[in-house]
Amino acid sequence: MAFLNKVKQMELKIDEYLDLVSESGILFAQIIAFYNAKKYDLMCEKCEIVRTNERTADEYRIEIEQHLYKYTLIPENRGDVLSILENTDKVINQIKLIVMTMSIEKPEFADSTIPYIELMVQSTANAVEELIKAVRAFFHNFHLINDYTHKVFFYEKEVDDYSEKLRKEIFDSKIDLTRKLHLKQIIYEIEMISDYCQSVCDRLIIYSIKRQL
Amino acid sequence: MSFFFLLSGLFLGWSLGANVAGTVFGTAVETKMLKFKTAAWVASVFVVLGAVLQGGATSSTLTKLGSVNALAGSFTVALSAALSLFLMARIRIPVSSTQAVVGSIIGWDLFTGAFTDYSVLVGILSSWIITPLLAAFFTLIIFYLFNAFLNKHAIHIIHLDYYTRLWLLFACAFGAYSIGANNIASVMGMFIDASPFKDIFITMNYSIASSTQLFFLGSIAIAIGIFTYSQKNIKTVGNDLYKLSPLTGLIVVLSSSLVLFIFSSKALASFLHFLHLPSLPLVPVSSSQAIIGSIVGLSLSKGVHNMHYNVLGRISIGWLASPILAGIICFFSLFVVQNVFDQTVYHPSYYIFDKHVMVKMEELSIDIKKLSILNGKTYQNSNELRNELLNIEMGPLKKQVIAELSYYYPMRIDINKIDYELEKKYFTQRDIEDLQKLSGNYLNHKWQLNEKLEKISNLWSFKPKGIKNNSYNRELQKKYDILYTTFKIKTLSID
Repeated sequence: MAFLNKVKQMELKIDEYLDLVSESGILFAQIIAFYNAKKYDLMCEKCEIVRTNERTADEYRIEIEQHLYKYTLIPENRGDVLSILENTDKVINQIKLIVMTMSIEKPEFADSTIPYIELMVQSTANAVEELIKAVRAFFHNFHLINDYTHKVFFYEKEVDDYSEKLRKEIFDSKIDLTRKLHLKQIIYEIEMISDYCQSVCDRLIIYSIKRQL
Repeated sequence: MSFFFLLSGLFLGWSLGANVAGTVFGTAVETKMLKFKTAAWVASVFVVLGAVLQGGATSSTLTKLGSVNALAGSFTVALSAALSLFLMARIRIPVSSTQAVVGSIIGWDLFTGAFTDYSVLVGILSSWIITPLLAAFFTLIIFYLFNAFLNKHAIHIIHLDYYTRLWLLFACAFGAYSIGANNIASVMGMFIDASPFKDIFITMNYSIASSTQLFFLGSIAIAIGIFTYSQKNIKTVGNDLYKLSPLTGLIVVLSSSLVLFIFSSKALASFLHFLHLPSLPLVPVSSSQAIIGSIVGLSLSKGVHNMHYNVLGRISIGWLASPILAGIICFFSLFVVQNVFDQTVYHPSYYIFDKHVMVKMEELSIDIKKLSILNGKTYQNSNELRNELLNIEMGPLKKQVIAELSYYYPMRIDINKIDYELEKKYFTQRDIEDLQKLSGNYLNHKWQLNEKLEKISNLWSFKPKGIKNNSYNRELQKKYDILYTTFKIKTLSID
């Protein structure tokens, strides 16, 4: 019975961990929208939530990993689960890194680039959302993984397209090179989020094959 | 001395225990789903339960194959089987103790000139073919059931892990019980006819039979084998053949245990008979054969990937080689034990064609004109009789009846023995009165006692075969067996 309680606690913990990553993806889109609308107070407020989420997610991840080893849970898939959690953690870490960079460095986007930025951010948030669905499917019903991973791949490709257009726009404009490089770095960091999502999905596809009976 | 002879059987039991871990909980422990100690305790308890509660069914088949009737003979048979297992293990070929024991018993039959009951042998040999096929079939069914269930119900990976552990524990218990029930005959079956134990009467209504005591001792040896040596030998039988996960390992153990259970369940055999369905013979089958069959079934259900056919070929060679090797070792060991150590490895069985036998055969409509050459003759062993019968045109079933009728089993009905040795549990006052009427009679054959008692009362007659009468007939046969043993008198050799 005690073992069953531990099993339930562990399931709950994994779900809460994924909730934090998913919530941070939504907050990321809101933060960028507030930044573009110059609502810095609201942006800082949301940044603080993301920072807290990231810390809590780290604590949860460590707790889950320790529990998996301490109680030798899912010995056959333990390595796969740890790899998924650690790579998903990179997503929330990257989100925190970008929002903190934005709030500190305050990059100046030209008005012409803002629609692209918004589209790129929205696709990134969508990729994070679909990734979390795919990870949940890995735990609950791995047959559904492909239904979500292909969407992640789609959004990742969209992000790449917007990123390319943005960089072209920026480097065609007549702003300082230092500003150009600064914006390029910010765009690169945003692009990294969907890249991490894609990397987790690649693993999920392989692990789902392994999990087949 | 008699307990010393049991050592070879106990050694065989110990080696079975050392190997049984790989069969019933190898995957579970290897994949860290169960702790070794937990699995070993569960397996040990259930091996003992299976052997004591259900071990009798398959051992009677082995006794029919070769009634090893001297302790030194039983010792040599068990030792030869263990030796052949050891030799095969040295060249890394996984083999089955059951097959080695069957080979050894045939070696004993050949050495002593005893008649090998070919119908029993064919039953055992066919079980060696049916076992892997049936195991593969069960695996396919269980695999599809599991797959359908898991596809329908979205179970969290950690919850699934919890249920898999529970099921593995159940499979470990079921597998160990089935092995205890089915394979104890391989360990102790050859000692039944020469058992040094006597029935223990605990209360008026409850007794522990000598065979049950033997099985208990054998199963304890298996349990010791599990605890002392199986951890070193934990690698699942067949893991070389195909990599198993906890879930697939569970399917393999469940299906192979089911096969072993089917081959040792009297209740199931009676039930199938009741439904007018063909039932499988109650024979000791090889757990490793069942496991290999299951793994092949699993690979078939998954579309035959990663199957190591060279390993499969090596294992198949082992199935052929081990009984032959055991038979050869047993034959020569019996020669050494008899002539070098001066031990009795068998008590001769005589077949006498006296006037009682000839009359009885005539009553049973056996054409005695064809058998006139047998009249008055005595045969020193069943093989001699069989050779004589080969020249006579007659069906194998009739020849079997002739052998049973002429089998010499001298008895003297001694009322004093009835008073002291028989318990009220088996015999009513009326039975005792019936037996008193025969007191002082000398009989040469078992059937004569049946015939005389049937004439006194029809309560001594067997009822027609059928599910309703099975239990009555079993009890009556038990009564007769006690009487045969009680009234038996020792004779010197007949020339």
